[in-house]
Amino acid sequence: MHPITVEYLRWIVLLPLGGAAFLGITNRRLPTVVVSLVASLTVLGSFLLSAQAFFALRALPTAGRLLTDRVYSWMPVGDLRIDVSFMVDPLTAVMILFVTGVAFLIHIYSIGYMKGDRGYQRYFAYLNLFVGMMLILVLSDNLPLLFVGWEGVGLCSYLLIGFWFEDLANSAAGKKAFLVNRIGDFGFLLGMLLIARTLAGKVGGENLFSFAVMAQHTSLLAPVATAIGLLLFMGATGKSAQIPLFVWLPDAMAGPTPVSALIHAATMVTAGVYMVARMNFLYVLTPTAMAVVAVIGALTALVAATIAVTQDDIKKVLAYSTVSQLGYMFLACGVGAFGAGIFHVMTHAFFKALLFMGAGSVIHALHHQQDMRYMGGLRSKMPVTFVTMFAAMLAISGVFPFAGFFSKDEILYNTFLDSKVLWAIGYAVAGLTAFYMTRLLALTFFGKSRVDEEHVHEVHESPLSMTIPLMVLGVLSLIGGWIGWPHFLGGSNRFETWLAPVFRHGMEGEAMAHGAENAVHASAAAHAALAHGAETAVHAGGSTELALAVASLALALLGIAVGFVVYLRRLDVAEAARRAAGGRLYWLLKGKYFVDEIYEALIVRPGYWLSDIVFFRFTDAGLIDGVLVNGTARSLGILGSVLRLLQNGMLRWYAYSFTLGVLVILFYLVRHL
Amino acid sequence: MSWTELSYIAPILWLVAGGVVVLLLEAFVPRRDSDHLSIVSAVFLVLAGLSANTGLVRTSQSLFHGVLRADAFGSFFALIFVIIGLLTVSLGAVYLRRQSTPMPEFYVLVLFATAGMMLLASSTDLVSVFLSLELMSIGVYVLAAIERNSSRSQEAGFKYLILGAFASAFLLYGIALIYGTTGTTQFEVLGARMGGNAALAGNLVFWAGWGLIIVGVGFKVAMVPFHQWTPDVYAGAPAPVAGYMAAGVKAAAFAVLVRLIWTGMPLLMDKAAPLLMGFAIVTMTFGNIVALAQSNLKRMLAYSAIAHAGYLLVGVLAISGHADDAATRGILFYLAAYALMNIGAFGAVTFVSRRRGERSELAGFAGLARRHPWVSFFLAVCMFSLAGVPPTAGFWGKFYVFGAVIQQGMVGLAVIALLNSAVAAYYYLRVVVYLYMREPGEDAYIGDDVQASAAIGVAAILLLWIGLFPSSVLELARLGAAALARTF
Repeated sequence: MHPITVEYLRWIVLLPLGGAAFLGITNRRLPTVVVSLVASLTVLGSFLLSAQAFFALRALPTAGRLLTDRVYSWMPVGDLRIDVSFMVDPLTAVMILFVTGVAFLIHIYSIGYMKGDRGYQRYFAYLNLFVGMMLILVLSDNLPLLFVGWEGVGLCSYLLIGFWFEDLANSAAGKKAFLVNRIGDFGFLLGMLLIARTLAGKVGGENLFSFAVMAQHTSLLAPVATAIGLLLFMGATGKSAQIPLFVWLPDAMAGPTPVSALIHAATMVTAGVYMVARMNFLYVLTPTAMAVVAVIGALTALVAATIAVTQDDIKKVLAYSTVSQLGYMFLACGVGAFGAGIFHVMTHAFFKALLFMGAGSVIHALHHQQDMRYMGGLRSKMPVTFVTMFAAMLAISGVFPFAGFFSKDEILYNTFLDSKVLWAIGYAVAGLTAFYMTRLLALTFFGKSRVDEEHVHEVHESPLSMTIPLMVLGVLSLIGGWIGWPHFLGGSNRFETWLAPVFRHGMEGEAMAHGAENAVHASAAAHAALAHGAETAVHAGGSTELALAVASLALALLGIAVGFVVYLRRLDVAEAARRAAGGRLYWLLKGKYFVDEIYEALIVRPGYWLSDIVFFRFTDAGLIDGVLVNGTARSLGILGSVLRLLQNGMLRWYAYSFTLGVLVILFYLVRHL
Repeated sequence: MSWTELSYIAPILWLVAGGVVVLLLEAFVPRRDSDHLSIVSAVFLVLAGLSANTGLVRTSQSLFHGVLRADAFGSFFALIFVIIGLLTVSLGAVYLRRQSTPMPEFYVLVLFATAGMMLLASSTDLVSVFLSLELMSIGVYVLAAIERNSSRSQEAGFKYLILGAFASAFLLYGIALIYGTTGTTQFEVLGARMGGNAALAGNLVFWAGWGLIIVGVGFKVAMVPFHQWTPDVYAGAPAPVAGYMAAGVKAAAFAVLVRLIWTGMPLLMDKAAPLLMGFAIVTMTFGNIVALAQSNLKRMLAYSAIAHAGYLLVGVLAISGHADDAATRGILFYLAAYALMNIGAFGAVTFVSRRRGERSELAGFAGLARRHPWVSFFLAVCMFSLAGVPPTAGFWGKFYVFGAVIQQGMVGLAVIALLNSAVAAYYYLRVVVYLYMREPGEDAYIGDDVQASAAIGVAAILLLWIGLFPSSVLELARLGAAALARTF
C-alpha cells in the first residue's frame, strides 16, 4: 500500500523553526506580548497539525497507516541519496502529539515564569528551536535527518542550560551536557556509518538510510546488528542520560526551570528511547544488544532512584527521578516491549513536566530557593501547585488509576516475562520512587514552614499562566494512562493496538524469545493485526499480570505511607537511616556514587592536561601563535622575512619570480619529454 | 554568421549593447550622480541572464566556424557572471555615491568586462581565448585604477596592467607555438590532432606552447608563482572591483582552463599532471600560510583567493574526461559558491568604507555585530562558506571537488587539500571572532548603507540556500560538465 502524501507535515517542523528564526533575528526588539504570542502560537499550530495528522492516520486502515511528506532531495552524493523527508506513522503520531502538546503548555508556563528576564526573547527563540529540532527528530523518515534533530536538541540543551551564562556554573553545566552528549553522538555516528557500509551498493540507488529501506533489508543488517545496535545505543545513553553518560542531566537543572521541564519531559531525553523504538527492527535481530539495553536500563533506574532518595535540592530529586524513569523505558525496550516503553515516555512526559513546573512554581514563590530543607508547609499557600503536584506524585509512584500505573505496570509485566532478576530491580525501584517522591512532597508542602523569615509572608500562588498548564497536566497525569487500560482490567489497551503495526518486528522477536505460548499471541498480534489477536492472548497472562499489578500497587502505597510517616512524624528514623552503616551508605548516595568525581579524575583531568599542555601550550600557543602567526606577523622570522622579500611591492621582483615560474615549467617539460 | 548563431550569443550581445547605451547616456544625458546608470546596467544584466537561461538546453552548438561554442557549460558561467555583475553594479553604486567626482564609466567597464568573461567561457579557439581574455582584462585594469585620486588604486591598476601584459605575452607566445606545431588554434581540431599524433608527444616546441598557455591562465587564476599581483591589486583596488576580480576573473580563467584540459585529454593530462599537482600544492599551501598572518581583510582575502586557486587546481587534476565527470561538476559548483562568498566578503568592506579611504583593517571589524547584526551575520556566513563549513555552499563545493579527487584515487592530494582547509579555517573564523567576540575599539567601523547590506545579504542568503538545497545548482553543474563530454 502506498503511503499517503500530505504536505502539511513539513509545517509541523517549520512553524516552530520559523518562530525561532523570527525571534532570533529580531532579538530584543519586540514587545513581550508579541514574543509570547509568536512563540506559543507556532507551537500550538504544530500541535493542531499533529492532531490533524493523527486523525488522518486513524482514519486509515491499520496496515496502511503512514503519511509522508518528501520535501526535497537533500544530499545527492553519488549513488547515495538522502532526503529531507518526513513521515507520520502511529509511533511518530504519539510522539508529535505529546511533544507539541506538552511543549505548548511549557511555553504558556514560561510566559509567567520568565517575565521580566533580560533574555526573554532569546529564551523563547531557543525554546522554539528546541521544539522544532525535536520534531525533526521524530518526524524524520531516515537516520541522517534524525541525526540533524538529534544534534539540534543537543545544541539547544546547551544553549538553554547555560541560558543564564553570566553565572559560570551555569555555562559549565551547559558545556558538560554538550560534551557528554558528544561522546554518545560519536557512537551514534559510527553506528550510522556501519549501516552505510553494510548496505552501500546492496540496496541500489535508494535512500539506504530511510527506516523503510533498512527495515526491508534486515537480513543484510543481521550480521552486524549487535555492533550497530550497541553503537546507536551509545548515542541513546548520552541523549537519554543512561549509565555511563547520565551525569549531565542532573546538572542540566542550571537552566530555567521550564527548560528542565522541556528537557526532562517533552524533548531531548525521550529522543534516545524513541530512536531505539524506531530502530526496533534492528534491535530484535540482536539479543545481545537487547540484553545490554535492558540491563543498562534497570541499573540506571536503580542507581538514580537511590541517589534521588538523599538529595535535598528539589530539582535534583526530580532530575534523578527522570534518569530513573528513563531507565524503565529502556528496560521495556530491552525486553522487547517497545510499545510499553513509548507508553511510559508519554505518561512520564505528563507528570514529569508537571513536577518540574510545580517545582518551578515553588521556587518562583520562594525567590529561587531550591533546597527542600528550607521549604515546608506550603500546602495552604499554594493550593493549585500542591494539588497538581500531588497528582503527579501519585502518577509517578504508579498508584491506580493515575497515568503512571498503567505504563509502569506494563513495563514490569513484560520484564517479568523476560527476566525475574530485572523485574525484581524494577519492582524495587517502584517502591523507592514512591518513597522519594513522597519525601519531596512531604518536605515541600507538609509540616511546619522552614521558609526563612524574610520571605515567608510573601509566599503566594503563581499567576494563572503558570497554574493553568499545571492543572491541564494534572488532569493528564490522572487520565493520560487510560488509553492503555489493560485487558486484565477489562480494557482493550488501545495504545498498544495503535502502535502494533510499528512494532510487529519487535513482537516477532519477542515471540522467538518467549516460546510457543507467547509466540502465538505475539505473531497473531503482528500478522493478523491486531486487536483480536491481542485479546486472545490476554487470558494466558491475565492472572499473572493482575497479581503483579496488585503487588506493585501495594508497594507504591507502602512507599508513600513510609514516606509520609518518616518525614512528617518520625524524622528520627530518617536520621537513624542516615547514620546506618556508619553513615557510609548515606555518604555514598548523597555523593551520587561519586561518578562525577571518578570521571573527573579518569577522563576530565587527563583530557584537560592533554588539551592544556599538548594542544594549547605546545601546538596552539607555541606552534601556531609562536611560530606561524607571530612568527610572520611580528618578528619577521625566517618564513616572514622570505615572504616579505617576495611580496615587496616591486614590480621587477614580481616579474623575476614570474619568469622563474616559466623556467620551472619549461625545465620540467624538457626533462619529461 | 546567421541569426541563429547570434541568438546563441544573446547574453554577450545584451551586455555589449548595455555598455554602449550606458556610455551614450553618460555622454548625452549628464547628471551629477550616476545611480540611474546602475539601474540601466542592472536591466541589461538581467536581460543577459534571461537570454542565457535559454541556452541551458541539452545541446552543444559550434558557432562562427568553431570560434565559440554554445553549450550548457558556457551558459552555466554566463549565469554566474550575470549574478556577479548584478552584485558588483549594486556595490559599485554604493561606492560611486561616496566619490567626489562622478565615475559613470564604472558601469560601462563592468558590462564590457563581463561580456569578455562570457566570451572566454564559451571560447573554443585559442585566438578567441586571447581576444576575450583581453576584453575582460583591459576592463578590469581600468576598474582597478578607477579611483583617480587614490595612489593605491592607481598603483594597483598599473601593476595589474604591466604584469597582465607580461602574462599575455607569454600566453600569445604559447598560442603561436601551438599553432606552429599543429597548424590550428581550434580546440576541436587540436584535440583530434593530439589524439592521433605520436610525433607531437615528443615535440618540445609543442609542449613549450602548452606550458606558456598554462602560465598565461595561471596568472589570471593567481597560481603561485604568478600570483604576486594579487595581494597588491586586491588591496589597492576599490572593494567592489576587488570582489568582481576575485569572483569573475577567476571563474572565467578556470572555465577556459577546464575547456583546455578537456580538449587536450588524455595526452595533456598525462604530461602536465605532476607539474600541475606541484603548482596546486604550492599554491594552496602558500596562500593559506601567508593569509594566516594578515591583519587586513582585503589582503587576507587576496591570499585566500590564491589558496582557493590551489583547491580548484586540485579539482582540475581530477578531471577524468569520462562522461558525467565528477571533478568538472565539482569545479563548476565550487566557482559558483566561490563567486558569491567573495563578493559578499568584499561587499562588507564596501559597507564600512567612507568617502575618504577604504576601511578594511580586521581590528576595525571588532564588535561589528553589536551595531550591525545583519551585515555581521552575512559576513560570517561568507566566512563560514569560505572555510567550507556546512550548511553553506562552500562546504558542498569542497565536498564535491575533493570527493572527485578521492574518486580518482589521489587520496594523498585530497589529504593535503583538507589539511590546508583546516589551516584556512583559522583565519576565516578569526574574522567571525572579531565580529562577535571582540570589544569594539576607538575606531570601530560603522556603516549605514542599506543597498550595500542588501547586496551582501543576497550573496549570503544564496550561499545558505545553496548550502541547504545543493541539488539544483549541482544539476546545472552536471549539465555543464555533461556538455563538455557531449553526453547529455
